[in-house]
Amino acid sequence: MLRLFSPFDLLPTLLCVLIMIASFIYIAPSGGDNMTAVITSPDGVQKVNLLAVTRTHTLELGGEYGVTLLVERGAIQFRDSACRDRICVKSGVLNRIGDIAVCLPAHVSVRIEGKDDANGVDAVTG
Amino acid sequence: MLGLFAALAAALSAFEGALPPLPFLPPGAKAGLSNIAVLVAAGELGFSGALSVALFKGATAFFTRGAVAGLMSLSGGLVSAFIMTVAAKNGRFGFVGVGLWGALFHNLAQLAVAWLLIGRAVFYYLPVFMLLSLCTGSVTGLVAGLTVSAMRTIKN
Repeated sequence: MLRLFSPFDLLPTLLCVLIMIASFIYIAPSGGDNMTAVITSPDGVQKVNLLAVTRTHTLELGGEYGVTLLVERGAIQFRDSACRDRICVKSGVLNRIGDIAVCLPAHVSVRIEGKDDANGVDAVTG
Repeated sequence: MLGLFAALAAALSAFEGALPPLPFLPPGAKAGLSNIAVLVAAGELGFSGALSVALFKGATAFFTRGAVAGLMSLSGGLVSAFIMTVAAKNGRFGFVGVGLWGALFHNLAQLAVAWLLIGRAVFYYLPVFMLLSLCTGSVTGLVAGLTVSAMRTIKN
């Protein structure tokens, strides 16, 4: 019969924290004034410089689910998708570096990347 | 006994679907309440029991929520059922520890499948997933532990 708690329970706890910290360092944005939406779909990868967007427009990715993105200056979001759960649309507006939304059925992901060009390093770890 | 756990998993899953989405959670993230049933099965019935409940859970997700949801449920469910049985058999961990192992590997397995579907962009979800693993794993472990001790009391 298992007990409720055991000192060994700290092991999976620490593992979670470790992976959390490691992945956070791995994906940590380096800041700066560059902001690019990276859109991956079955058709390939598209990059949109969000700070260079002058007018709000939609971006139709097509495909089986008719995924449509809404692109604005400094922001991007899933406008529409014919998928079942519509988790992508519910993810809302992506407007910060590191933001991400995916539509698993349509195999589409959108994430915002940014890099400080003046600095020149991707990440600094202790 | 197995049918009871499978029914419990389906009921918890339906209950979870009826809960309003929490504003601070990313869309698609769930508490994993039905994993309580898998955990109890892992502790009480062993590997085949936990595996059967996970299979049933995956099939339910497939028929009620579609192919992608079914695939995600199945991948996470089977891997976590296996890990939780191993952790429970090991004997060193408490229910909370077993729940944490289960949640951790549930999320890692799902992320691996999402990675195959979409690509490495999904790794941006990793920090949030790990934080959620800590919360959901402890809660499911705690509830499963209390359930098992209640079941023992009823039996005796």
